[in-house]
Amino acid sequence: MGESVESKVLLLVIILSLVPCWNAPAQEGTLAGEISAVPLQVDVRGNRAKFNEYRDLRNGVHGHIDLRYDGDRTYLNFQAEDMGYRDQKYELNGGRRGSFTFHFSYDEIPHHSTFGNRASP
Amino acid sequence: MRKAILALFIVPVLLFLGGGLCPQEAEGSNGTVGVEVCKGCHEDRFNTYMISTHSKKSIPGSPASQEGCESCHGPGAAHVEKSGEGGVGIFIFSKKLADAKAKSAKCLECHSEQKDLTFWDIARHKIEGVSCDNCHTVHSGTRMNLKAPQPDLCNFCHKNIRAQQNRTSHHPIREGKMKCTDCHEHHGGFGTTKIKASSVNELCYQCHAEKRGPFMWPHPPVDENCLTCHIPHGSNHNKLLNIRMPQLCRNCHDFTRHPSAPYTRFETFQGPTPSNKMFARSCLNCHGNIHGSNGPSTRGKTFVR
Repeated sequence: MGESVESKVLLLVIILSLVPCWNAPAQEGTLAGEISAVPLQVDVRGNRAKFNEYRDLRNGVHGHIDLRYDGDRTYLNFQAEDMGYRDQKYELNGGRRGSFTFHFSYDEIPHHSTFGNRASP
Repeated sequence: MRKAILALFIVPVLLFLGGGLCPQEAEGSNGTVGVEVCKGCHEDRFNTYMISTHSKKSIPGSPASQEGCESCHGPGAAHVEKSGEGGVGIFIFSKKLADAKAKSAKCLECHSEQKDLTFWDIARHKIEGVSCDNCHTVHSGTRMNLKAPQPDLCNFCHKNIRAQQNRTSHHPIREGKMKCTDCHEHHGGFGTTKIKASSVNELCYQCHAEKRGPFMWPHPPVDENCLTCHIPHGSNHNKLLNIRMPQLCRNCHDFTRHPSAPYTRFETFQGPTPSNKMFARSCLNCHGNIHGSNGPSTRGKTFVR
């Protein structure tokens, strides 16, 4: 678990460190997007494992970030979904039009078969 | 005489320079009217064009660096002369006014050398009359100019696949963790379903590498085709199976060695504490390593865990 957290922190540091390195020349550009925090209360009456087979819907605050910088020559998009949860997703892509593009992504996909099962003897 | 000879040289030179210094074509001489004229009537369409990649002048060959709206819609002078009557004197990406081939040809004027369009000419989408504008729109700021995010975009036509995605056992498509283009080459490729691998197995192994082996005791249908037992888009049986077990296993394994009857907690592991592990898994209760085993002796040979 400790290694997992460390790797996530490292990933976030790498992503954030790229932002200041972004060499956007003086030009007209637009920065748009949204940052949201959605409180969620989940009440599952049935198979909880099946309901959360590929996701992690739990009580708590689910944060989303969607930021887009769009210049004439360069662009940069950053998206984060369900930060801190087991199905969290981070995506950073950008590029200089006509020259290069880059795309980094980190996407956790949980796969729950059952919760609270008995271990084999 | 000398003046006449001098004039013979000077006049052509002046004419050449004059032609070079003057504009080659004044605005409108080739039938174009300019972006501002289009904006005058179609401001809403102009605004959606301006937020798209096509409006970036910095991209070499983009519509913005050429004729703007008229790069795709054609010269608009005739359209303006006829008071902007719908579809008159101009190219419109409409199903009624242009066929799929003509619409795609417009896009391919610039995008024909794009890497992922290499196999567009043999693409099933093209053969079935799907054009670029069925999925993409220039008037949008979305990624790849898609009209809708995946899988909704694909499911709009592939309704049978959408039904499969909503079955109980499914890939994480509707959860947004997978998308159609992770497996399929939508712009054309080899094979009937345009998958992004040389075979179905090779595609599945990209994520399910543990099923690849090599095993000391391989299960032959696994090597042949994953789809022998599984439906990739979704199933109402566990593990994306075509048929419920043990009927699935019975398709090949008859009664000669082993009665392939449903083994549940009512047949075995009975007693005061019947095992819940016997429920609904039948053959896999014992033959757990069904994709192949490296177990020694008969335990591996029969994929017994």
